[in-house]
Amino acid sequence: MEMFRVLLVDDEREFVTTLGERLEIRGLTVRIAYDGPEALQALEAEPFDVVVLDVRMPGLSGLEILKRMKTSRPDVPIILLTGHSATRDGIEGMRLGAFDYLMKPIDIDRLLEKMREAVLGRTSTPAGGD
Amino acid sequence: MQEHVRDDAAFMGKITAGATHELKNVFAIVGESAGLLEDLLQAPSSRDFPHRERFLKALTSIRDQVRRGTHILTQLNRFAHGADSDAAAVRLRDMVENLKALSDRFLRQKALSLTFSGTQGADEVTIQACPVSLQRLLFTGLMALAQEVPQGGSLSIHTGAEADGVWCRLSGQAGVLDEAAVGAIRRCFEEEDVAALLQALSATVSVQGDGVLVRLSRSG
Repeated sequence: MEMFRVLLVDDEREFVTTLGERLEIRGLTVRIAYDGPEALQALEAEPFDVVVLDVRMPGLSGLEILKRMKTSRPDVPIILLTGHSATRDGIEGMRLGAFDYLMKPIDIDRLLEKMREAVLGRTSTPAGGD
Repeated sequence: MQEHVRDDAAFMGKITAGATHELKNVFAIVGESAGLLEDLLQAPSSRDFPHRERFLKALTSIRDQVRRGTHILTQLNRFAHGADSDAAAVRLRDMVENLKALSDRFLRQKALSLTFSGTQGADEVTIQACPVSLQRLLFTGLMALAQEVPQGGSLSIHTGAEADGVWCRLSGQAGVLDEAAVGAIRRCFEEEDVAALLQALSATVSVQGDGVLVRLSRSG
């Protein structure tokens, strides 16, 4: 597995820490942020190959964070995580520059494939909510 | 739909949609936690872990159930969002998939299987209708049919478009319904609330030996 540096952004702490641990087992370097301001700060301060961002978070929404990230670091691809009801958010997110979106619960192999595509600059294969 | 009924449906829909969203997060955490345990058990250092195979088997079962639960929640969430509006473009294929997932429990009580046989002519058959009312009408037809077919039988749903509307056929095996069964299903659609539903949707129903045909007019 490539040694990607990934920023995971989700307010569901148990979910995101477990996912982070699983990605680390697979050789990725993981940084976790639990809200928008922390994520934006991390993205300014540290180098990342890819961001995985939950769309629905309290406070600053995922789409708002996406917009700001695309302004400050347009080079870093962003993969959105959506709930089932949020397909519209995923589509809107792609319009705003997200690489793709996946629906929770995610399949880790699918996420890894999506990250690889994003980092290596390949066109996204249809995901649209797995 | 009457205004207070619409408000009640919208309220139920909103609460259900919110709850399904939360439950999906619960499943996401369960799924990731099970996945992490699998990862750890697959590591070479865990080869001698006692009961390793039994743990892995149990984790596979958890993963399968997470997938099953997620599917039901996804469909329940879509159903709940049907109450967001009393007139929307309804894709029949989606509605049938929704109906299939959410009626499974009821059909299993008679060991019935339900398949979607696809859409005639076009992939996308849509109609402007109240999603909750339409779903209720199809559910009524499905349950009436299920009541009359023999235990362990199979049912199918087929949809299509015609000149000024769409149709949805709920079928059992050919010739499965005798006259008494056809009469019983017809009576379901004659009940006051169902008749009102048909009228509100500009729908007609015909019941024959192989099942129920629901027609919805676009011009209604």
